[in-house]
Amino acid sequence: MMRLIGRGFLGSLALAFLAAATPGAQGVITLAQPPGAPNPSAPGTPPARPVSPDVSALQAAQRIPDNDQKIGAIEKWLKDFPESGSRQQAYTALFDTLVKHRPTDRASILDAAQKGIDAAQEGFRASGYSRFAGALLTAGMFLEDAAVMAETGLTVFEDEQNKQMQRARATHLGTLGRIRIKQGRVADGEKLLKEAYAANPEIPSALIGLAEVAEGRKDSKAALDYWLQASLTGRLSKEDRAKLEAFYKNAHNGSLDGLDAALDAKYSETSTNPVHADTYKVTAARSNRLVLAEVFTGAGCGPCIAADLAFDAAMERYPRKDLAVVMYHMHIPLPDPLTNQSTVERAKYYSINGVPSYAIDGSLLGGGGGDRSYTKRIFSRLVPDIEKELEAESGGELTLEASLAGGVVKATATPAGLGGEGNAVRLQILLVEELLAYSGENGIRFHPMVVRSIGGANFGGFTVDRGAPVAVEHVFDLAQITEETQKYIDDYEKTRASTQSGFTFSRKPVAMNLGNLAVVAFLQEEKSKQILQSSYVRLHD
Amino acid sequence: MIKAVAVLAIALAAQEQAPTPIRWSAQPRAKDVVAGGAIMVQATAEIDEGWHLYALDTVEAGPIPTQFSAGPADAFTLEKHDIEKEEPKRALDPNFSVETGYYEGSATFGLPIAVAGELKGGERRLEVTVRFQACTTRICLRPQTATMKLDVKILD
Repeated sequence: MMRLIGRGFLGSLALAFLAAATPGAQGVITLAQPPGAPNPSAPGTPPARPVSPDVSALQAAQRIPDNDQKIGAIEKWLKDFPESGSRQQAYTALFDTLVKHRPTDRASILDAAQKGIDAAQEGFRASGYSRFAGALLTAGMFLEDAAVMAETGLTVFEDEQNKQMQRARATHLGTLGRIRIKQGRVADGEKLLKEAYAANPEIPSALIGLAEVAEGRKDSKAALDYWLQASLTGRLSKEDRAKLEAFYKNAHNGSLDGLDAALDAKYSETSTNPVHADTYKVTAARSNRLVLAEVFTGAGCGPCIAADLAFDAAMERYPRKDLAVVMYHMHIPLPDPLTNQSTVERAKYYSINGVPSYAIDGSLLGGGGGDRSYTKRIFSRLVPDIEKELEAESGGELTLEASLAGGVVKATATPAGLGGEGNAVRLQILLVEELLAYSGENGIRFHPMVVRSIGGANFGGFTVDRGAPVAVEHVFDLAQITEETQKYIDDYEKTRASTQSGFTFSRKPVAMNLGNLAVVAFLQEEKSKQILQSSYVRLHD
Repeated sequence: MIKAVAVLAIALAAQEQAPTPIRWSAQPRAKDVVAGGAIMVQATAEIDEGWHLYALDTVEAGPIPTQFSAGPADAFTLEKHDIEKEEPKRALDPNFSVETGYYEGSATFGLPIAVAGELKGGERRLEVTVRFQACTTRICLRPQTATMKLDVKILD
């Protein structure tokens, strides 16, 4: 029996995902959340292009013309937003203002500099030392302190560069190791490849080389282990993928059965979420709102790792009656075969310029992620926004019923209680796959809540008459969606290949697992983008 | 036949681009040019702190490289193989787990642009377009396109 993730939402989803091996399984009708009460006193209309509270507050603080007030406002901001991704920017602004307008306040100036340096991502702090030391030099103040800062920066720089160099060196070690093996110097080659692997465990060439050495020794167990690890880097070429499959078939009576399950198990064994979230305890102020998190991400996006894992942790903390998460995949910066036309259109709606970006109930947060070490920071930023929304009254009711039968998902969403007045509202109905296994270039394998299609003309949802809302029925024809997604991905591949010679996707996971589908619906004010209420229905047990 | 022309190029180019952490400008390096020859345009990227503008070379499983073009095609052609460029920094990029070439702070490129020999005297608008991708360690932007326009006056 293979090992599963064994924790939280992704763990249970993975279990269901792996257990649901019956492609033709029919869905089970499930009723949606209890309808929300009408809310005539819903909050006012936010600005047309939502900006996260931390970013807008910092911008406002920086615009204050009076310098004493500006310093006070930035210091208050730093207390108010302890987990904001803009803290480095805030400390820099504070430092600059202090240097200009309180040049004798050495303690505060140096404190702002040090905290600005510390706010940078691990491995990227050297430039902060240089920046602040240089600013003191330019201002001609505290040169002794500036010298200490620059000296420390030099040490940190050398350390950071050395770590980077060791990782980069792995590529060269890997190449040399494979040459040695080709030359018949297997022991030398294997030693070099192991050295490369130790320096950078994500380097596929070393793992492939080690797999081939193990194959040569007839050590199938070790070979499979290396092949699986290589595949999980998400950077196997088509040719190497074919080699992995040939090896696997050879060891498994000509069958690929079980390969994906072995990859899932290996991933679960080697990849852990840095955040283990406590379960949300419902407060007295909990409203009837189902909070919706919309995440724009990419399987080929390095900085999306922290955001993806932070939302995994959020799904572990909040049950689906409290939080629904949907993931819109994008071809940024590398092509992502989980992208489809509907996710692209949704990104246009929010004017998404980069990934990761995310919105809670229609309000875009500052965005940004990082490597795994940033997961906790991103998660900590999300929690206050989610919990604020959990206590905000919904702006209407939304009942959702959905069923899967005969290759179609039929969803009926019934809005109510919107009040006659107010901004135009649209109803969005999304078809999502609750868990999908695909190893993209950023190494994330399990992708939850992948948006596969959105209802309405040009994937834009449905108009709602606030005064007299009516039920909207939308049918997702699964075969048609698969065909259209396949065409979209094929066309994208051709277009990309015209500018990037030889480009092909290593896999095109466009076929949906029918035992793993869900429908998410929500009501959204068109102009403000504020989401009034959401609903979520699983189409399986 | 090669026709001698003088070029009066407006130093600062108009740009059509959305707000971005990478801001482009372009200006010609010389005032005179020979039709059928080439004018050299200097394109400069001003890069916000923390951002990487990726180099011109393609890296397998790496970012979209910075790419220039010039137009309109009946008047101007970029000699892509002769672009002058600063040596980019190179390092293992945590966003791609491969070594990438990139620029920080600013980057300057010399773009040799061939002028069609058949051009008649008068003002022409040269459009220099750059497609590029940029990332920090925390976010990657979708590929962006910036067009810089230079008014070129050709004298008979």
